[in-house]
Amino acid sequence: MASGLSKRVRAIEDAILLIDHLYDRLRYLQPTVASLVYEASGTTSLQRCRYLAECKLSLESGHGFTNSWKDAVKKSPGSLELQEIELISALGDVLGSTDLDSQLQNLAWTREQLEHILSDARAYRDKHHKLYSSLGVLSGIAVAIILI
Amino acid sequence: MEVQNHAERFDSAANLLNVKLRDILLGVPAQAKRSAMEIRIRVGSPVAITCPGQIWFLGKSSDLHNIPQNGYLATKQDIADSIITMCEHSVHTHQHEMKNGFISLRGGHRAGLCGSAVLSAGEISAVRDVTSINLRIAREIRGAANDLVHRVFNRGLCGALIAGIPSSGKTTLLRDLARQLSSGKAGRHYKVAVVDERYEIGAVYNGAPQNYLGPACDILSGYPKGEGIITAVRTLSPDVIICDEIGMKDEVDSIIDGLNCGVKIIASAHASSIEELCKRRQITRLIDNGAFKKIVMLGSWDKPGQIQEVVEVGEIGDKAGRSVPYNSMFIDDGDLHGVGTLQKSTSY
Repeated sequence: MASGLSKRVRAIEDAILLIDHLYDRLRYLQPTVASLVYEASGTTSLQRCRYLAECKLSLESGHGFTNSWKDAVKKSPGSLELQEIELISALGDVLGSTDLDSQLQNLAWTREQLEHILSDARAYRDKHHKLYSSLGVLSGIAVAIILI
Repeated sequence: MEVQNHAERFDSAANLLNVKLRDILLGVPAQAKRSAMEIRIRVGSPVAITCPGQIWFLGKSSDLHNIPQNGYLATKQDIADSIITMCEHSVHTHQHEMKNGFISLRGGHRAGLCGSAVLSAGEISAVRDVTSINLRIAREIRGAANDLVHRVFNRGLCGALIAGIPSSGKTTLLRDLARQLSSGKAGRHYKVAVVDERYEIGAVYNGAPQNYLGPACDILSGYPKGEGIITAVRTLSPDVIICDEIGMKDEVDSIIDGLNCGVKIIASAHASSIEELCKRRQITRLIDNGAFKKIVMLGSWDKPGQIQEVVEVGEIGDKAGRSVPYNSMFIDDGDLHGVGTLQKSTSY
């Protein structure tokens, strides 16, 4: 449980990192969404965002971006939870389908929402981490006593 | 680089459309594919294929008719889906082009869009409700400029303007001319800079030119012509700059600046005759400034790329009914050296 909380925090941090990456690339180079995904999936710092590789595979097999992105996020969310999955998944409707400014605004808004979720997730982790760790240790001791 | 034949080019253009249209178009007889110049898609109308001197209407089973009955009627959805597919699901990458009514496509093709203009602060900011697409199929015809090279550049490089009506083969000629000049087919290898604003000449896609323009050619893709010309002059030290469809004031200003740097200009413009050409203020500015030594008029659209006549700039006064003594200007091989104000006795 304790490590699950930390993993979720890390997954949200990774998602924010990805959004920053997408924002910068879009603003500077205006690549196609496929190039954006291909490039991001090959970036070392974004390797933990497994949905990128999933989306890349889907695009390579000829599927459209919107469905590829949404399916990939739902299929390989890693340690993300429903709230953030929905936010990231919704980018599939935005990326590539509007003008640049609208896409950048949407990415900025999504980042802001993720920041809020991250802050809550961190607080939750810090609050419950010790509790879950102690519970884990106590459960281990209890099992050991029963076995003895 | 492998040169695609015309049927393959047709297929590559058809593959850019939505699934329904693509499947019908891919089944078109090879003979029609080979001569096709455009695919016209209009909401509620049969899809049409323009060939030299003939328009064919597409049937549901990929059959072709010369009357617009029993044809496949394009739907609004066909057009909307095709635009998304043509943009590779990345509308923002074609934002600027769409504002100007076209989309540059992979393979060097170009889609002209017809719809309702969205105005913002008095300027077109987007095009919505697209009702028709004109998909122009890119053609790379090696040797198309043989006659041009022989008739215009046999004594070396000079400024030239290629004029013709739409679909008369201006871009095809320019593309092959760029290749021939940079490949040494006109005497020696010239350093050619192509300002390819609409991605039609070199058709660069993902950093790779789709059309081969020879070993000594630099391509400035997507640059507005004026800025592209200035960039080419400043950074590429070209012998010649080639660009398509000139006519705007800033483009002409840049060309004139380029002339003063000793660079030759080869460009194209829409016009059906010398008279028509001389009625275009910016074109006459260029002629007056000695940008061109020769003007090449192309034939009709059923004979694309065929030269109708080559006119020396000094002869234009006679051709266009002007009394401007062009040949009295101090022009040397298309370059202008120290010419003052040109006094004209006619207005146009």
